[in-house]
Formats: sequence, C-alpha cells, structure tokens
Amino acid sequence: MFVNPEIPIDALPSADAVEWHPLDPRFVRCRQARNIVRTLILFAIVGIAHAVVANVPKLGDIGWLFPWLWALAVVRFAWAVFWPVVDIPRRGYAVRDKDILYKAGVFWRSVTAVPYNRVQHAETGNAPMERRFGLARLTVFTAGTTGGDLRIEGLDETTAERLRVFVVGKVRGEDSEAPAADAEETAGVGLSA
Amino acid sequence: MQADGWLRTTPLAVFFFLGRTVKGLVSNFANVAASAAGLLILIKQHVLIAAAGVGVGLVALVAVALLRYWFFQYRVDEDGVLIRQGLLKKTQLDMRFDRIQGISTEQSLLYRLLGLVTVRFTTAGAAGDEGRLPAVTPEFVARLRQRVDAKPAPQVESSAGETEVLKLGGGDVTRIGLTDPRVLQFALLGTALMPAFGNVFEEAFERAADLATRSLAVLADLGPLRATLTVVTLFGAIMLVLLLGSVVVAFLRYHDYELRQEGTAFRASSGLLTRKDVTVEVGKVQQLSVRQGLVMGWMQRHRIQALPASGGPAVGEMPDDAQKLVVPIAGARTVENLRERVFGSEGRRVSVLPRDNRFAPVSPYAVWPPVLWVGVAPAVVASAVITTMLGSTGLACLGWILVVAIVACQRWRRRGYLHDDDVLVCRSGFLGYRVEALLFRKVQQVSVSQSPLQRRRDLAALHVHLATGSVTLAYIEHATAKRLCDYILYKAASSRLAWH
Repeated sequence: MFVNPEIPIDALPSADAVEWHPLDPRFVRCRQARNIVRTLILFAIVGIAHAVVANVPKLGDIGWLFPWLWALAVVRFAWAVFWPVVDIPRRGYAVRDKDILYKAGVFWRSVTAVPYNRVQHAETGNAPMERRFGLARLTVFTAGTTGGDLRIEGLDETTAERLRVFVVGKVRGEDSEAPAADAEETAGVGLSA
Repeated sequence: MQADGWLRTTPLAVFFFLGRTVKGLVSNFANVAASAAGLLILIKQHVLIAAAGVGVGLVALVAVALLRYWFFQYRVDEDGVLIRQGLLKKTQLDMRFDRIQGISTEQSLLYRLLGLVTVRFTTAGAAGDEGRLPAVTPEFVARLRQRVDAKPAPQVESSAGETEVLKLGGGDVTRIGLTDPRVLQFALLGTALMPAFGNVFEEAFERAADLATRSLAVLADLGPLRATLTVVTLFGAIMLVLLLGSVVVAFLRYHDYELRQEGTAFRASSGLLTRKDVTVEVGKVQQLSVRQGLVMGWMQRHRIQALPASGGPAVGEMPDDAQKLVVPIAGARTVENLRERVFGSEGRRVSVLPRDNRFAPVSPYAVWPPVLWVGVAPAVVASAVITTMLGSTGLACLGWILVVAIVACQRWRRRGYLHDDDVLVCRSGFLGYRVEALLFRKVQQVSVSQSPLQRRRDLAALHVHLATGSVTLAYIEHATAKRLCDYILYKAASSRLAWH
C-alpha cells in the first residue's frame, strides 16, 4: 500500500553537512599555464602593434597608448599567475546518494546541486592543456535550456571517469526503480582519490 | 510512397517551405536591409539590371522551396515519427511518441480553403529539435494525437472528459489589442530606423519638415489654447490609429479564442485567417507564468503562459506561441482556475495572482547593488569628467542616482515569493508584475549563491533551473535559501510523479 508520511523540514539532509572534495592540486598549475599562454599572446599582439606604430610616423599620435597597454598586460600576467592560487582551492564537489554538488567562487560564492534522476547524460573531456597535466572535466547534462548543466573541471582523469560511470549508473538505477515517496537520508559517498 | 515507408506530404507544402525561406530571410534583417539598400541604389541607375536581379531572386526562392519540399520526407512507425530533410545538410529527426510533449496545428488561409494543416511537434530536448509536418490532413493529425495519447498518461489529477476553460468574445480581444504595446514599439522602432535608409527618405523628411514648419506657423496663428488643443488632437489621432492597428492584430491572432481541457491536455485554438491549435499535456507543464502590465493592471486582467518542457525555438527562428499554452487575457478567477488545473492537488495553498497579499518581501538590501553600480559609480565618473570640461553643469549628472534609486525601490517593492510544500511562486516587475510558479518536483538543478554584500548581511540568492528556463529568487535570508534548496532536492529525488 502506498504510504506518504509527512517529513519535518529540519530532518532533511543539508548541503552544509557534506564533506567537500577539493579539485586536483595540479589544476592550479594547469590553469596558470593556460592563462600565461593567453597573456603571452596578448604581449605578442601589443609588441607587434608597438613596433608598427614606432616605425610608421603617421601613427605616432597614438604612441601614448602603449605604456598603458604594457601596464595592462603586466597586470594581466600577474593576475593569471595569482588568481588560480586563490580561486581553485575554494572549488569543490561532493557526491551523495541522490545528487551531486559543486561549490565555487571567491567573492561570489555558489553551491549547485543536480539530482541524479534529472540527469540526461554525463560526459568527460579534456582540452590539450588539461591532457598535458593528466586532468579532465566532467559535465552533467540536465533537460532543457543551457545553464542547467553542471561542469566540474580540474579532476584527475581516473576520478573523472569513475565519477562519470557512477553518475550514469545512478541515472540508470533511478530510471529502473521508482523513487520512494517517503524521505530518504542522502548519505555522503566518497569517490575521490 | 517509397518502398521503405517514407512519405512526402502533399505538393501544397511548397507554400509552407516558401514561407519558411522568406521568414528566414526576414529574420536575418541586417542582410536583407543591406540587399534592399543596394537594390535601391541599383534601381536608380540600372532599372533593367535591378528588375532582372529581383526576378532571379524570386525564381531562386521558388526553386529552394521546391527542393526543400522534394527532400522532405516523413515516416510514422510504431514508436514515433521520423522526419528526413535537407538538400546539402541532411538531417533526420526521430521523435518517439513518449517524448512528444504536445502537438500543435496551424492553418493558414490557403490551407483552410484546401482542408489542410501544418503539424508541429514539441519535444523535451535540446533547442531546435522540434519537427513540423506541413500540408497534412486533419484526419492524419487526429490519428497522430490518438497515438500520442495512447502512451502512459501523466499522473496528475484532472477532470475527465472535455471542459471549456475560457472563451474570449469580441470585447476581450479588443482589450488584448488595447493592452498590447507591440504596435507602439514597432512604430517607435520604425521611426528610429528611418534615418538609416539615408537618401531614399531624405525627400520625405524634407516634406515632413516643411509640413511641420507650416503647421507650427498655423498653430502660432491659432493662439496658445487652440494650438495646445490641436496638438493634443493630433497626438490622440496618431495613438488611435496605432491602437486600432493593435486591435486588428489581436483579432487576427485571437479571434474566436477557445481554451478547453480534454482529459489530461489543454487545447487552445484561435485565429481569424490563420487558425492555430495548440495542445499541451497538463502533466508536462513545467512553469506557469502570469504577467500583468500597467494597462492590464488597470483593467484587472492578466496574461498567462503555461510552458511545457521543450527546447525553445529552432536555430534561426523567433520564439512563438506554438510551443506553449498562451491565455492572452484572463481575469483573476480564470487565473486561479488555471492554476488549480495545472498543479492539481499540489499548490493549493499558494496563489499566482500578482496582487495577493501573502507574498513575502525580499530584503531591502536588494536596492543597494543597482544604486551603487548603475547609479552612483557612472554618475560620479560622468560628473567628474563633465565638471572638468564644462564646469559645475556636470553636477547635474548626480541626478541619475535619484532616478536609479527610484527604479530600484520600485523593483524591490514588486519582488516577493510564496511557497507551500509543493509549489514556489516568485514575483518581480517594474511598472507591471511578472509571476513565475513552478513545482519543486520538476526542478532540474538548484543552486544557492552569495555576493559579498549578501554574505555580509547573511542573505543569498536561490537559482532554480527547470526544463523551460530558470527562476531566481534573490535577496532572501541565507537560511531560507538553504532550506528551500534542501527541500527542492528532497522533492526532486523522492517524487513518484513524472517530471515531463
């Protein structure tokens, strides 16, 4: 017989109580390397432009701009090295029995949760720089509009694949068995190495 | 019919593809405007070449439509509908019956005369996945509807049989026209774009300027009272013409509007020339949206949209009402009636009426970020720059802060939320109201975020993602946001009812 007892709101598991797993420490160096490559491209563009302006007398009027552009490029370089050290340790994920959580942000902080029974599919992937550091990203897709997908970057390749298999397994499990209407505790499940 | 079961629709579908090709061109407004400008210049210089260009363009349009028709094939099998299309880029759309969210039909004047309809399938998937079958018979559509309805029905409480929910008369449709701001927006946009056409309109501008000068001279002769009256009468006449245009558009779209509940589905049909028929399964509705503009508010009417899970418009297409259930005008009783029908036994203790006094306000700190970032920061910078160049005149820029503060206060007053054990209702707006209602159990993803200011004041924002979009409830207490987040996750994970 179908039963549907009332659950006190305070008895629900809270996202505060979970144990957060940090991202792989190599992700800091990976992100720094990517940012430095981008900044070097910026340096190259500014340098070429500076050289052109210096050798074309007609363009001499905009020469005053370049000290500012060089200063901007140097600030960008410092930021590229410094910011991942601050930002990435503040990111983390948690895998629970019914959902997957992800937190991020230094100034603007957020905690995002996706229940497994709403997941359409999950995929892992890595960009060339991430491959170089042995890292991968996991993306969990939900139905409908963009912005409803969860992406966790900076995972060890093995961990990312294990997480993907786990999430897909959970989705299949949720599909095959109807969820219970009564309350169920969502216990923390650790997967990270 | 081919040996492998693939079918072509009737050759009259060519008109459908012709229309889509033209729509595609119109939606790409920048290219069309550039071509038109080039053509205008060419017409002035070489009439024959321009005429030949227009002729080639028209022939190309028809040829493209014919090719699109020829390469468009469909097949209906046990599991669903398959559509193949494309000349160079071949695509095959596979829509299983259990994934089809709704079947809508559209009947242009030509198709009405010939007894044909265009079917549109709405599915719960990524953007651009919707399929259309042009120029098919109503009997074929009825059979398709039977097939879609034959799948397991969504588990919602609804009255069996057919019931009429709403029928709009001429007075209601006139009100829709009077409250629709689009004609006025179109007129303003047209006025703004006219200078971009350059020399072509120069002569017209000169005539208008001449007319205005003569009119001003006439007004000066009339005396202040008569001049004011004349200007007011002229303005009133222009507004009357625009409103009449708006009413005509409303009659074209919503003439003989009827909303019925047929078992577990809503069915809305309307239209004077092109008649549209939209069917949306009640259980597939993800979000109920109630809007009340300023004029609608004076008339105590609302506009309602019930959004089923779908990917939105196809790439390159404008969103239209064929993907959702739209009630263009409704009184308070109809709004609540529709809420009860959509949410069933859930959400009985909430209201989606924007002026309900049970809405809880959000924190007054919601006013600070817009005042600081949109008001104070630009005003101070602009004031400093202009004061340096023009003297104390620049201080007038500080008045911008007052404007932003008034707008921010008004927006804060409109914000509010309401929830029970099943439904969350969020209210926002500036002059009017916008209310979004959703079922906790249909949420796809939920997040709680905090800005530095929110952290200082122990506030947070709750972002709820649905298959139809997202709803944000900002500047509520952090503890409330976390509690709602945990509760939504519990409801999503434990609900026995299907979300789509």
